[in-house]
Amino acid sequence: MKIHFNINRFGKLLSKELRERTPFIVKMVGIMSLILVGIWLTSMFFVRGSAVPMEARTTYLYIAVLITALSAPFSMYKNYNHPKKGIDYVTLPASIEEKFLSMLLISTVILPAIAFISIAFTDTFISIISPSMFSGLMITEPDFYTKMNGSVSDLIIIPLLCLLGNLLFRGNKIVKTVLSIIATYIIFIMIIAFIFLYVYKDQIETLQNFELQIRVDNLYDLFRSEYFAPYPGLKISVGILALLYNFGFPIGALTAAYYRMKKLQY
Amino acid sequence: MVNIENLSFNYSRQIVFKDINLNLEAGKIYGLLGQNGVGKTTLLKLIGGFLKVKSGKCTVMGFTPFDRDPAFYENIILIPEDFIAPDMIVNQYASLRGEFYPGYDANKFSRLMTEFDVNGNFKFSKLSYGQQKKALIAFSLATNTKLILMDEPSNGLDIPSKSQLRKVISEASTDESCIVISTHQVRDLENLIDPIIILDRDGVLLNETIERISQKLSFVFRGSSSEESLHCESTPGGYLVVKENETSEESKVNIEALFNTTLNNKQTIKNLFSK
Repeated sequence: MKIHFNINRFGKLLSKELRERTPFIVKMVGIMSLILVGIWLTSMFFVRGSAVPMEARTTYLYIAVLITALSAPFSMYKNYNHPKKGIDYVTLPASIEEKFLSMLLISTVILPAIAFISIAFTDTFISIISPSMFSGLMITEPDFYTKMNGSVSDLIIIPLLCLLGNLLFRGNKIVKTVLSIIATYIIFIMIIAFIFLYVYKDQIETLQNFELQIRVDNLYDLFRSEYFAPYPGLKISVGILALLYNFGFPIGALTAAYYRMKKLQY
Repeated sequence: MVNIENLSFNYSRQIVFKDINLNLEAGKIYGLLGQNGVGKTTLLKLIGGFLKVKSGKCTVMGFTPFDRDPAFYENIILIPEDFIAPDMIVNQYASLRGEFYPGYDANKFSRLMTEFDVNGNFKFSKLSYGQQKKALIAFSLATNTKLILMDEPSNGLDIPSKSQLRKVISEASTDESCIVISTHQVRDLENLIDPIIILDRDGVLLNETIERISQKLSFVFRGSSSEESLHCESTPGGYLVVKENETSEESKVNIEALFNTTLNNKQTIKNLFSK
């Protein structure tokens, strides 16, 4: 009988994967932290000692973690679907479910988390030794949590789409994945535009006075806002779009990546 | 151990196998021979679960290979022709992967590495292609899996390593294990592979033991060529003649000559061995 998931075997697999990828993780996280050190030194020596604004530091942390999460599948699992190199990983006696979960955890959780902790630690360290340049602690800044919270969907959805692209494409993975993600977003935005500009044209015109910002990542906020309460049809449509973006995209990407992994031939 | 029934496989429009049947038993070292492009590697990939059977059945130790059951991979290992080594230390590679194989023997791995004269403390990238391949063979044999698939294992090995390879494969063979070696270098593995499987675009032309082959065919050296023979090839000092064995006397099977004989007399060979 096929055993889909064995916790001991999964633990062994995760441990093996992390040990094999430690040099890459250290290099990646080290580079991201050193860039922050570079920003500090540059400000100190070349920008006449002007302090690095908190906004710049939190933005850097966000971008660094996002880049780490996006590049993780391409850097650490680029060979998984390689016709020759991939065989070594496929023959490893662990189930597809265990391999998939391990890949998912390392690419989208563990590596970004390590990058986050490392950069936050570096920032804290610089703040302590050079408070005039790095004023205040980033991790105690309320604005920092607001920024990270608002970007959670980007930090989850786009990395999952990259994970899928890495398994889907065999050559020119990064270019094809980026183009596919752009195409997906364009199609999604076109659907939103069609709904807002044609289906609910009158209601949207009424709401124009409220200066609503309609973006793919704030659809859920729009759904919950009181502006749409008088228009149940529009509210439901926005709700469906929010559901599609926040749950459909990640679940779709995860499911497609899993099946791609399961059905890959070499 | 391996049971293939009416298996068909194709890459897009290119048909590789059509309704082939094959049984591989434990306790044997099969030599899988065939011309380029007849599907030797494809067959190994089907058995190993890397490709999906289009129609028919392929079961290995009761498993359907493409299900990629962990218990299946605990009992099978493939040594590919082109091994693209990971960027890591050989001993670390072996210890990390060995944990997943219930029968993995670290001491056997060390012993084989010593026999092959490969230093496991180096990264794969610091070793030559032949040394990388020897390290992979050492690891694969140390897993003690029941089914070992080898695709051109002697490619890239130097002369001493080839004889070491014969020795370690011979030692790795047990009553419970089955080794399948796909190769063009039949001379490298002569006296080791038995039975012989010859694949062709028409399917499996031959799957017989050396003993039965020598009962059915005779391989004799003669001063002149013979028109009655199934196959005749010139050798230094005369000709190697392959013909039907009409006496009970057995001769040493020359695998290369057997291969050429089979390809040139497909129907005759099929009829001869179906008796």
